Amino acid sequence: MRHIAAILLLLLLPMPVCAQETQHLDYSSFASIPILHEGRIKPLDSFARVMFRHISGQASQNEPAIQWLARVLFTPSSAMNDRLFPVRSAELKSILSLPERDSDYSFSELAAAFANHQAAFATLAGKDKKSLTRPEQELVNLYANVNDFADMVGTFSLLLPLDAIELQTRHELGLTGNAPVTYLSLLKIREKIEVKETDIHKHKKDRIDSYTPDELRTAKLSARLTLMEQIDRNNSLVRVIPPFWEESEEWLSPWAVVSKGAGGPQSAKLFADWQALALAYRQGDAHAWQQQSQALLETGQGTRAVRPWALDVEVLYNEFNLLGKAFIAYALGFALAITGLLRHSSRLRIAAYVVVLLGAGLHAVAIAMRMAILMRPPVSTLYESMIFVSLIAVLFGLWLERRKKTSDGLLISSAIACLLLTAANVFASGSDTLEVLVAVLNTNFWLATHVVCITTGYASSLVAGMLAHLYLFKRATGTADESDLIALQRRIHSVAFVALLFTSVGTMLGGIWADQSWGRFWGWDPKENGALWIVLWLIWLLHGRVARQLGHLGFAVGMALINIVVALAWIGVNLLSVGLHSYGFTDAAASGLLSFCAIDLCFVGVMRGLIAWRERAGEAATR
Amino acid sequence: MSTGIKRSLATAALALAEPVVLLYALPWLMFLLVAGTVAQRYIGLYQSEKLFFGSFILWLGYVPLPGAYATLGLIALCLITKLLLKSPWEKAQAGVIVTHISVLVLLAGALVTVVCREEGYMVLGPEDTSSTVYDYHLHELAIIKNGNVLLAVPQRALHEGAVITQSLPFSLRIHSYCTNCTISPREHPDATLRGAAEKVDIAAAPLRQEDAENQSGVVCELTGLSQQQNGTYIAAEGLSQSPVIQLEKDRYELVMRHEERAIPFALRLIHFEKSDYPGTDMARSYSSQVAIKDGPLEWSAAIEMNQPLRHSGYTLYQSSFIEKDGKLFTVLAVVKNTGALFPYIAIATLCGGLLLHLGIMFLPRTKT
Repeated sequence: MRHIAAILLLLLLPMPVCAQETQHLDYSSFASIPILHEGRIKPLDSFARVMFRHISGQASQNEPAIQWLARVLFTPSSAMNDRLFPVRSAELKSILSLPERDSDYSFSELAAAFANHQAAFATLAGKDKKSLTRPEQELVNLYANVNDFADMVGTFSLLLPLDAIELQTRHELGLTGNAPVTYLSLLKIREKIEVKETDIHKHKKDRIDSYTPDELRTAKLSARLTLMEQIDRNNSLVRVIPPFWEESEEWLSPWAVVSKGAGGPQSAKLFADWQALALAYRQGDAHAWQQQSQALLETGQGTRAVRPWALDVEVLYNEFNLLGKAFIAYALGFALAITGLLRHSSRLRIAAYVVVLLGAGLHAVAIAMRMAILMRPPVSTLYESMIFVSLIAVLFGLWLERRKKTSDGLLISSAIACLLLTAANVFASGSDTLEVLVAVLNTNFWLATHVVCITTGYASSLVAGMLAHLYLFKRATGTADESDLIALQRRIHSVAFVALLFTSVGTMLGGIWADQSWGRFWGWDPKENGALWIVLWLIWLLHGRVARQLGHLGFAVGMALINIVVALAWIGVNLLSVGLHSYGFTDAAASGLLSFCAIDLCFVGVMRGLIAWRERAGEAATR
Repeated sequence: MSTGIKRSLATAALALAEPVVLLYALPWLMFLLVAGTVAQRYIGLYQSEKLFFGSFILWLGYVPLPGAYATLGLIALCLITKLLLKSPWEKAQAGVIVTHISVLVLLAGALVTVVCREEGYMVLGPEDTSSTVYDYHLHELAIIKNGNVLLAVPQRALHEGAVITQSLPFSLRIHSYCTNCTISPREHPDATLRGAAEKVDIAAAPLRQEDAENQSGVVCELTGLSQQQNGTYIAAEGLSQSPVIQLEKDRYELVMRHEERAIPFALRLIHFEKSDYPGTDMARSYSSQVAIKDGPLEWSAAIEMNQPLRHSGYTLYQSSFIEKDGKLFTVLAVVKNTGALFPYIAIATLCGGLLLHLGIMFLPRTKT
C-alpha cells in the first residue's frame, strides 16, 4: 500500500518548474514504446488511454491521452492538480470532507483527504469486495485510483532532477559539473549521507535549531531520500524496463529494478535514455525528444516476446477507433433506411445499404486488428462477444436485404449493431478491452469453435427477434399488406431455424469443451443454462408453429420476446455473479440491461394490444 | 392383454406422440432452468442442482410438481412415440427425424451419466504417490484401526438410531448427523460425554453455498467397552481431534471426512507448475507432470488445462492447486463416465439433422 501521506509531504517540498511548451513534440514513437501492463505487452498509447479512462471515467479529454501520460510521468507537479477524479456521491464527499462542487477533484485534494484516514482506508481495501457497502466500494475504487496515479507520478522520480539541491550541497557531496542530481546519482553516496546524518542526529538529536547550515542541508537531503524510498519503493505500475538480464518475462518499473537489485549495464543504459527523454520533455527539445523516443522504442521492440508490428497495429487501432466509426455508419444507415421507407426512395435504400456495408467493413477490420494484436480467435470476452455478435447481425441483415430489397434487413441489422456497440462501450468503461484470458479460456481451438458458434447463434436469434418486432409493428400500424406479412413470417421462421442450428450446436460444443476440460458435459453453470434456455425457447416456438398451436401472431410475439431471453441468457446471467463464466458486471450495464428488457417488453405488449384493437375494429367494421 | 387395454395404451401412446405435449413440457422445463439458475445465487450450485435439475419431484411445500427428471423423461417418451408411431418416414422429414434421434441420444447419455458417473478429486504434493480419490460432496465416518481403514460408514447410513457393529469390537449407535455443523462450547457437560464432546457440542447449520465448505459431524454412542470408554463421542470435520479408543494394543480412531475411493492405479506427482501472466497474479496455465504406476508398469505423462489424461476408463483433469507451507499441491479432478461418448455422437447427429432439414427447407425454393 502506498503512503499517500508521504506523497503529500513531498508535495510540500520545492517542486521542479513546469515544463516548457510540449504540444509541438512528436508523440508517435513515444506512443509505441512497449510496456507490460495487466499481463500483456502493449504500447504506451494503450496504457495511457486505459489509465485515463480508469481514473477519470471518461474516454477522452482536450489533451490526447499520450500527452497526458507524458506530463504525468515527466512533470508530476503539473499533473497533481489536474481535476481528474470524479466523486459524485454526496456520502463519499462527506466521508472525505471534500468541498462540495460539480467538477472533479485533483490528486492533491484527494491525497490530503485520504491522508487523514490512511489506516481506515487501507483496512477497507484489504476486505473482500463482496462484503462492502456501495459507498465503501466506491471509496475503495477511488483509493485504488489515487494509488495508481501516485505510482504513475512517482515512476521516474529516481531519474528526475532533485531541483532543490543547493550548490553548496553539491559541492559537499563531491558532485561536479552540471549533471542533474537525481536519487539514482545519489544512490552511490547514499550510505555516506546516511552515516553523516546519523552522526549529526547522534550528537544533536532533534534540536534542529542547533544544526549548522551544512548539517541542516545534509539532514534535509537524507530525509528527502528516505521519503522518496518510502513512497516509491513498491512502485510497480509502469513496467517499461524489459527483462534483459534473465530468462524472465517480467518487465519491471524503474523503482523495482533498484529495489530488487536487478540493475545491469543494459538497464543503466535504459535509465539514461529515459532520463534524457524526461529532460528533453521538460525543455521542450523536440529533436532530443524524438531521438530518445526512437531509441527507447527500438530497444523495446528488440526485446524478446515483443511483436513490433502488433504494437503498431494497436496504436492504429486506438487512433482510428474503427468501431466508433462503424457505429456512426450504422446510425446513418438506419436513418437513411427509415427516410427511404418514408419517402419510398430506392436511392436512399441503396445509400443506406452502402453505408451499412461500409460500417460492416470497418467493423470487420477492427475485429481483425484485435485478433492480430491478441493472436486469438475473435471472441473470448463478453465485450468481444458483443462486438462480434453485432457484426454477425449486420452481415445477416445485409444478406437478408440482398435477397429481399425491403429495407427490413438494413433496419434490423443497424439497430442491433447500434444497441450492441453502445452496450459494449458501457460494459467496457474504464477497462482495457484487449485483455488476457484466464487459464481455462486459453485455448484457441474451443474459442474458435464453441464460442464463435454460440455467438453466431445469439446474433441470428436477435435478427429473428428484430424481424418479429418489425412484423408486430407493421401489423399493428397496418403498414404492410397480408402477403408482405406472410413473407415476413417465413423469413422469421427461416432465421429462427438458423438460430436454432447455431445455438444448439454451439451449446453442445460448449458441453464438449467442458467435458474435455473438467470431465463433465453439463454442469448447470448459469451461462450454460442461459444458452440452453435460448435453445428451448426456439424449439418451443418452432414446434408450436408446426403443431399449429401458435398462430402467426403468437409465433411473432414469442420470437420478439427472444431478444429479452437472449439478453438475459447471454449478459444477464453475469448479474448472478456465480459460475465459471461470471465476468463481473458494472451497475451501469445492469441498469441498462434491465431498462432494455422493460422497454422491449412494453413494446411487444403495446404492439400486441394495438393489433388486437385494430383487428377488433376491423371485424366490427365488417359487420 | 385385453383389447380394451391395448386400445387405451395405443391411444395414450398416440397422445404422447403429439407435439402439443412438448408445448407444455418445454415451458415447465424452462421454468425449472431459470428458477434453478437464479437459485444458485442464494443456495449455491450443488443444492440448486439437486433441487431443480436432479429430482423426479419438486416439492413446493406439500405440493408435488414434476422435477427435471420427470419432465425430461416425458419429453423422451414423447419423442420415442412420435418417432415410432407418427413420424412420416420420408425424405422430406429426414432432417427432422435425424434431429429428434440426436436429442434421444443426448438424453440417453444424460441418463447413463446420472446412473454410472463417478467423480472426485485427488490432491498430490511434490513426490506424493496416491490412488485415493475424494468425493466432492459425500461424507463418511471412517473407523481406522492402527492407521488402516477398518470400516467406512457412508453418509446415507449415518441416520439417527443406526447401530453399527460390523467388524467392530464395540457397538456404535448414531445419535445425530449433520452435513454442515456448527461447533459451540458445551454448557452442561454430563458424565456420559467423552473426548471433545465433554467440551463442545455440534448442531446442524444451514448448508453453505459452496458445498465444499460444509463441515460434517456425527454424535455417536459407543458401548461394549470399559466403563470409562463407553459414552457419547463427537467426530466432526471442524474439530482438530477425532475420538480415539485404545483397546489393549489396538488403536481405533473415528474420523469424519469426505468419502474416499481407490482407483486401480497410482499417481506420483513429479512436478507441478503454475504460470502467471507476467507482472500479475492471474494464472495463465497450470500443469502437472505425473508418473502413472499401474501394476509393474510406470510411465510419465503431463496433465494440463484442457489436456486431460485418460487411463483405464478414468479421466484426470487439472482442476486447481493448493499452496500450503510454501509447497504447491496439485488438485486433479478424477472422473469415470461411461456415458461420455453420447454427447459426441449426439452433436454429430444433431448437426447433420439440422443441416439436412435446412437444406430440405431451402433447396426446393431455390429451384422454383
